[in-house]
Amino acid sequence: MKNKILVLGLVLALVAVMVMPMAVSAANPTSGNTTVQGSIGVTYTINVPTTIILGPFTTAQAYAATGKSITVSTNDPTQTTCGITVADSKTASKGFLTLAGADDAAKELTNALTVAGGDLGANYFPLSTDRTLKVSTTPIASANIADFAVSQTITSGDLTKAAGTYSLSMTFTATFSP
Amino acid sequence: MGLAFASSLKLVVREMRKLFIFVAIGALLGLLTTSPVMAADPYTYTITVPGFITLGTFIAAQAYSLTDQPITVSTDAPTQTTCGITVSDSKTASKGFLTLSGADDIAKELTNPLMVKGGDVVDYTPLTTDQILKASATLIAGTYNTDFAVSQTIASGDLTKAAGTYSLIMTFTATFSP
Repeated sequence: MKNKILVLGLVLALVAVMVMPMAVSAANPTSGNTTVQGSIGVTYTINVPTTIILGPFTTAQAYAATGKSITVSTNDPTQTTCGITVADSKTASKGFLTLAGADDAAKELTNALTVAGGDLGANYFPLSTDRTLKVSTTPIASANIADFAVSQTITSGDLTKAAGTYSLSMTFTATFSP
Repeated sequence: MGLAFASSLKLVVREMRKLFIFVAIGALLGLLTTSPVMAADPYTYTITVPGFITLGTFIAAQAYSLTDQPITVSTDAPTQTTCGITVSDSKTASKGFLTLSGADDIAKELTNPLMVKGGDVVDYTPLTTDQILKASATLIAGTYNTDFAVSQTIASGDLTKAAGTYSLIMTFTATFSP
């Protein structure tokens, strides 16, 4: 009887020995980490009409183009406000359409180009000085403008000036701020 | 008659007690013998993976890839002859997608999931599910090497997403077997 009991005890011990290596084997998985990364850069954009055509000028009157859109955007999460200005960079004939489009007071129209929209409202203002279409507003999307407009008043004297295309390049500037 | 029965019962109880003691001692001996095996497994199991995989700055809608990334698994355990390798992203909601913070955030993930290939995964496969790079590879001198590659397809919509570093942490797991 004692021998049987002893054998039984040994068998149990053997089973325990067999079970433990399985636990060791199960503990061998090992792991490592890799970080995959890539960056998206910061962009600032302003979309404006590329060309606004008013003519041809055939009579002494005001020629206008309305409902022009100006939109701004950025993916810079640190920027929350935006302001927009419009300017003519010429000096001697600043704000005036000229025959060549260059700075040439001798070949400019009688009246300055006028602009409206945004914070300017419905009233037209001469572009002979820089104009603020939007002061800094939050959120950035609120700086978008859908009612930008230009108006050119043609006098009878303009109709006898040298034939050709009179033009002016407006520069719109969006300024983003935190 | 009753006295003889009582005597026999006492004998049986005494023998059962001995049996219990022997079994307990046997089991205890088994545990004492095998516990050091668990605590002092002398073998090492390692997997070596790249710490970082940088895909650069995403500036165009195209695929950005990085290939020939080495993965090495090894052990000095003489009983281990094969290994399996898996790669996974432990995130849940945005599993397999690079995100702005690297955390689980669907709102800040790229349009397409990260694709991986290497080992048994011959073609680029989304990491939206765990990928088995090797089901069972034979260890040579305790070591196995394989190449690994990742590819991220950038959509045009990604380029206007919030600027910053988009990332994902891959976990490689090696399991060794006899």
